[in-house]
Amino acid sequence: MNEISSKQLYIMIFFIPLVFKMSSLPALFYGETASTAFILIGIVVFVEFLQLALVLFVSREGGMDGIAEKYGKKVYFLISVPIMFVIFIKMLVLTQEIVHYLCSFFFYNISESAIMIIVILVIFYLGTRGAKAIGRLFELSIWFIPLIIIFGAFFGEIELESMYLTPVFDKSASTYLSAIGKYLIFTFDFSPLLYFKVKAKKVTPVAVCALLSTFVVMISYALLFSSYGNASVHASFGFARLATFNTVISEIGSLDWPSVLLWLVAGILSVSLKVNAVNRIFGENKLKKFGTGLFCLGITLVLLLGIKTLNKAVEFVTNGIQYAVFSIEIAVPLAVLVLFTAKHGRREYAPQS
Amino acid sequence: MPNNIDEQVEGLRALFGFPPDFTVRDIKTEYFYGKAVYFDGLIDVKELEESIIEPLVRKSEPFGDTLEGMRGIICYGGNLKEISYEESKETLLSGSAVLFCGSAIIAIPLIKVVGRAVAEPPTSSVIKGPREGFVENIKTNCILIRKRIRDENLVFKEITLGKRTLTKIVIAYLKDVVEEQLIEEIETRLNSFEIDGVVDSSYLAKLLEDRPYSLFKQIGNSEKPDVIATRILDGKAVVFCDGSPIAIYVPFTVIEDLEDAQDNYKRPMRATFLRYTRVFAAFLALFLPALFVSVQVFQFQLLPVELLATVINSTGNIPFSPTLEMLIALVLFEILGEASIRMPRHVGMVLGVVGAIVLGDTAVKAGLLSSLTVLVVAMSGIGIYAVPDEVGTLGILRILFVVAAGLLGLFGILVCGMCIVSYMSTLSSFGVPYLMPFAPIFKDDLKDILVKYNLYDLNNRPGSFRLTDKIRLRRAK
Repeated sequence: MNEISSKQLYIMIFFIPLVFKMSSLPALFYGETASTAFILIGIVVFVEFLQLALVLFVSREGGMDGIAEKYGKKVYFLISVPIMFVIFIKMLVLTQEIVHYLCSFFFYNISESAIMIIVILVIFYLGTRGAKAIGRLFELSIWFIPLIIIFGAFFGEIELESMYLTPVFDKSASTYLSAIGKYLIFTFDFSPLLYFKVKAKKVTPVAVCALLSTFVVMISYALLFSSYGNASVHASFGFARLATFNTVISEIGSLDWPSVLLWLVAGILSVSLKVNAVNRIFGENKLKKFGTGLFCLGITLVLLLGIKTLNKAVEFVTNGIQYAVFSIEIAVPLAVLVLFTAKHGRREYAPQS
Repeated sequence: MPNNIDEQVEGLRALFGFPPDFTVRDIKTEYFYGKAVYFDGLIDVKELEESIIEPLVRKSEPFGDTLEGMRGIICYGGNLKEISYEESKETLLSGSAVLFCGSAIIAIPLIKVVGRAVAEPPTSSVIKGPREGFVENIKTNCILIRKRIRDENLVFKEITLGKRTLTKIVIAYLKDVVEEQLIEEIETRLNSFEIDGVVDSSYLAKLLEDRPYSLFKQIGNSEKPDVIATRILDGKAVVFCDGSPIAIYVPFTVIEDLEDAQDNYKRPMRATFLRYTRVFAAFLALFLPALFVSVQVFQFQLLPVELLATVINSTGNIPFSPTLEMLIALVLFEILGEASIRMPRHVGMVLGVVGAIVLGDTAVKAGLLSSLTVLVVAMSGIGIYAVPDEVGTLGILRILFVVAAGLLGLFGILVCGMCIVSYMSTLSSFGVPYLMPFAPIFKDDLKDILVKYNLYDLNNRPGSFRLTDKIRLRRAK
């Protein structure tokens, strides 16, 4: 049973839109839209929660398992194929982000290929552990947050310049729309939740987590830009940079480690969530791990032989394919919802008991 | 079944293979003829003579040779029972005398309690709090609990396990707090094995665990009656095994090993501080050797320049790689630990001193190990004993982390940690997730874990597992 608790869902809602917007996206977005980026990203994240609403509606009806029950395995698989395509494309860039991040912060002069294989192995392992394991890891990862706050409060040296956040909306609307369109691949990540049975009964905590996530993304972008100014375009891996504020404390070493670790954990877990969805698609039979393994092998081969660097990956996913991915991300939950409604038929009024 | 007393006794003797300790005491008077059978040394013969045989011999009037007939004659306070001939074999083995009369066979429980007195357990000494510890006698252990919980709802359910050892097992719980399904599950799991012998409660733990081959224990244990009484009051089921001074309990979550019996007897602030110290010590024990390897091999930028210089000066001339050096030091530490436990006490003490000072110092002077490595291993070794119940697990894990750190540095530690935690998150103890109340988060239980609350505010029993009565404390109106 791929069931997650409501608390696990709330934590996922907080982390999922956050993680991959805190790596290379701030710099890329700043490059396109300058200081307006911190407002734009807020709007993007907010819109992203519309997809979450759709996904949660579907989950309430029974998720993809409900489709399998009502329409059979063939329809289930037919709907799942585009989702697998989306996951494949997204994993290309997100895995590459993790590997690039690791090689930038953890190692010097190390073969990215070796790290790539290990990362994929870890993601495969976690992805095939099941929803509970991933959900619980998400729960445990939130304990990094107080650690970051404590470290930041004690050792952070923040030099902010609010002028760096202006001007806003000084370019044409088409510039902003095209920037949003270009980096759509980093957004709308909730479709794996279609394969989970979610126990979310209340709307308020979901809304609070969504707003909190939007707020944190916007504040982080604003802090990053007001700290780096025009140099933000070079400040890739914003989350780690944000944590240190360029500060190196001579007594205990550089302080970005808690943030680096949190990002890495959350990043790996977010991708594992996608692999878990793939694992679910391959069904309950004994071969499902084999299928998931082949899927991960395919990604590894593409990354090792074709898209070898992060730049190439970003180039690949910003060349038009992101629109197809985005369309599927929205269309599939909608289609599933329509299928559920169609099966309900006309509802009879039940006599009052 | 043989017809007369003599045939019955001889048949029984033959059944046991004519053992030398099989004793038969004839009781023959004008009004009574019978034979008391027992294993010499297993029962209290004096009590048999004084309470049973002497009153029967002295009786100068006729009486019935049944249990009812003998009541009022014998002056024995224990629980006498009429048994069948088939049951007599098992009764004899369990430490009873069997009285063969003309019309009945009577079991007289007279087991001689030989064992040590109740004393402070060597593995859980306390500064403040009760100093009693369990002993090898199951009855004494049950009394130690009964003494603390004088509630009619405290149930001691007895079962026998072990085809050859016929070991008494007692399941203790509060029947109006614990869900009956938990007890049924314990019994089902224990009875699903036909084992030839159970000589210690650790055998039961292995039979009860969800994943017996896991590195992580899923059953709690303690040698202290006050701890076990607290667990019973928390709504857990405790299992005692005759012959073992360690009681085991279920369900169990990993966080319980970071708690200490004394936490309840200290001021909440002090208890909280010590709890965090223990957690820090456990992290130190687990990660310090791996982090040290990691900063040497990959992440030297993690260290400030002065500290980096110290590390380089200390480790520069060592002929081994940092990983191998650390592994050698850790394995040596484990060997010292094992040897000092098994050596005679005085030699063990000497070995400890020799190992710690002479060997360590000599290894450093000889240039085989760096002084920092010895320091790191020593700190880790001290830290590991802050959580004594997890020494075995932490000892293996830290070696695993060192290997991961040697291969992939901090990333290796992280990956290894994630995989271990994800594995732990799939473990459960009788349906209760192993990482409760952190994953899944259970807010109510967190309040006694993150900060040790005063008893005054702990109104409910732990909510991580299902109970029929959750209220622990209610204020009087």
